[in-house]
Amino acid sequence: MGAVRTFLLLFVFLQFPLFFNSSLFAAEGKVLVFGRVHDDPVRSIKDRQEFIDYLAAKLTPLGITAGRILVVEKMHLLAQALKEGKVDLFHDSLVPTLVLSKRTGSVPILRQWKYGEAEYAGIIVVKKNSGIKTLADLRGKVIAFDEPHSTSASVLPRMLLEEKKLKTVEIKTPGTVKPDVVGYVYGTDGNATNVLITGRADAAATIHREIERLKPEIRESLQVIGQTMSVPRQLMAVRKDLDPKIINAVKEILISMEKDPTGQGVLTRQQNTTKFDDIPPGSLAQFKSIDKFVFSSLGKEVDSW
Amino acid sequence: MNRQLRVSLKLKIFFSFGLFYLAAVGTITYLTIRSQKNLLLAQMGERAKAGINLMELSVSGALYKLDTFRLETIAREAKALPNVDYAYIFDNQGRIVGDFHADQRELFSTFTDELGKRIIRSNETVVDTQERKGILDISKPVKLGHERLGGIRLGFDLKPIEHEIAEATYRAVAVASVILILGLIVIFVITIRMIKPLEQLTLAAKRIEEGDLEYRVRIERDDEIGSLATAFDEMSERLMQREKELKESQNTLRRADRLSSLGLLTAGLAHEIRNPLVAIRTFTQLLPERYNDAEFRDGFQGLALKEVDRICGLINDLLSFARPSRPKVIQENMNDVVDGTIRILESEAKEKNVEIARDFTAGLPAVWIDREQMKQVFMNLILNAIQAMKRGGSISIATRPHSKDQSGQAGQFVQVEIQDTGMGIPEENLDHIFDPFFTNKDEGSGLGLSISHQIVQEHGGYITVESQAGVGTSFFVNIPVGKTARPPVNGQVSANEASLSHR
Repeated sequence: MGAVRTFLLLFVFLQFPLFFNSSLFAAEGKVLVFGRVHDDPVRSIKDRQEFIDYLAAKLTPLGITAGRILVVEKMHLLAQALKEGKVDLFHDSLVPTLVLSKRTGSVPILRQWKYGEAEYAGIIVVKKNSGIKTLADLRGKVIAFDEPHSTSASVLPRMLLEEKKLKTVEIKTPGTVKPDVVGYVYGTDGNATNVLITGRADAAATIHREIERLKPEIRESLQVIGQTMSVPRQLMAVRKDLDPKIINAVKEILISMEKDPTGQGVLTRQQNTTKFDDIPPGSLAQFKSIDKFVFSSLGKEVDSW
Repeated sequence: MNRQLRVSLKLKIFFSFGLFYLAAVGTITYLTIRSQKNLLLAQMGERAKAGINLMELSVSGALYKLDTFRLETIAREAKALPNVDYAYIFDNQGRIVGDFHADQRELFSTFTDELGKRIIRSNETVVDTQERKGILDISKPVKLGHERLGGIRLGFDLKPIEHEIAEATYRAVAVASVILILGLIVIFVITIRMIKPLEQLTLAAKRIEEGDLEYRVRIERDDEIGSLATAFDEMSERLMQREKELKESQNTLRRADRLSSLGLLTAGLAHEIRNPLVAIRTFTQLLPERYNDAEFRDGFQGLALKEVDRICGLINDLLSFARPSRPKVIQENMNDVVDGTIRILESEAKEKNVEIARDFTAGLPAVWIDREQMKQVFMNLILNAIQAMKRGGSISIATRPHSKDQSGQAGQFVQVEIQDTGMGIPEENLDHIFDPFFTNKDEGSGLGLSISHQIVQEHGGYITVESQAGVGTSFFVNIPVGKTARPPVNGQVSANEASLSHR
């Protein structure tokens, strides 16, 4: 009996993606579905339900009756949903948006301001007493990144290091960094700064906002030795075959949200979004260079995202 | 009967208050137990809700992902919640995706019970207390955003609560029993205290009804009962005063009646006294001439002494009858009393050409009477008889024992019959002859028979009359042998003596 039960549990767990197909996507139709890649569906849905409800309500004249959020743990699952037309729009930072765009043809339509910032940049920090003064000093050292597809705390810093001709190699075991390369590890809890502070790395990739949140004495002990290019804070994208009328309406509604008192409150509660605006035309070239780096330099690593 | 009424009143008050108190204590106890039970169940319900809410936090994500490993783990971790008997996590199709329970349900099976079928469709938390099964079943839908992911169902064992409820019930019943017993004791004491003054009042009323007008309740209480007792005592005091005044009036009337009777005897008495005096005068005139006649002289002396003694006796009888005397009830021989009365009246009877015949039964038992009052009775009756025979006639006065009271019951009496050969009393007047101021005579107050009737009654006796027009009338005066409980007017039967009497 116990063995049968264990087998059934294992069988069901392995069929997990199919459950999404069979149960969660089954009731689509006039429902606007918002996609999200995250390992915490509860937090993801609670944070965004009000936002998607607002958007769906505004789209009622176009036949939209409700808004739902689909949370998946992996990017390839969201890509699958986008391809099958079961997710209508999503938002994410630049790199995941570019990856999904590349794989599914989804189209970034708006830039999303957060914390009053249209753009942000990644930075590389070290401890002031570490003796590391420049990026070049990182040779033979270990740098900590956030999760692999993090735009500001992983991809852009790696891109920066490559631009500085610094080769990065993932470190599986401590103390094995060769002198001519920069070893890297991923912050297991998604926060590379912690890895640096706790002495498990010599440098960390992060953003200014994260540094500012640290205790003053810790913050004062750190030093920025490099900064990446600035990129849009976040992007809103739609699946490639979404009705253009809906796309236009979505753009219109999101851009005007900041002028609507109700919409303004919804934006603030939705991860401190300030507003939505058009993507600056000059950003496209930047997107191409990042896209090239991701798919050429990171290679198969992207497939596991 | 009165005793039964008093007991009945006590019981009525006791049972009325007792039942009301019992109902009140019972109701309060029942409500207390029910309240305690509801409180304990509510507390269990709140703990259950807290537990299921806590569980929901960890279930949402796993249920969203249909992470059955995680869901199974969460379900098993629910064992840590106090008193949990079973835990199920079900998806939005109602299929069980995580559980722990003794029945080891198959994964993805569905609930078969009615409650289970209901809760998988419910959008609300459902708390169902199944006291017979000893289970508190609580279920809650798990939602994320607008999506119903499934739900959680927990069963909490009510045995610990039932134990607490039983203990609370025992405690409440024990306390209620003590309160009930104490309350009933208090009610009993209050009832006794309430009834006691009424019993005192009842006793007082009875004593006063029996003639003890000096009896007082003397209840000193500052309430309605106290006021009633005070009013009763004041009423008794006024009654005693009225009784005293009434007795004084009666005495006055009786004396007037006696004087009136004496007035009627004046002519006869004067004649009775004059005749011996004339004889004495004649003898006295002849004495000087026949002084040496020793036979004359001795005869004169004997006759004079005899006549003087007779006059003195007559005068003494008159004085004792006319003088206001202090009533005194003592043992008397009825024959003597009747004879004494006849002696006073004989001259009047002779004057009216009426013969008085005595038929006394010897050896009659003594009776407790006031001699002068009883003589007044016979005086009235014999005088009425004399007056009823204007052309002369005879009066037969007999004494005898009598064995029936007024109602025909057995009793021991001495009867005095005064029978005349007068004109008789018309039948229509027979019912009124003892009424005050009723008379057929031209002279007279109409009080004689009324007073006689009253005096006999006060002696515990009774008078009856038989009359036939043209033939005559017989009055029967019946006086009980032994002492009467109620003393005659102003009589001096002591309390001890009264207690020895019978009616």
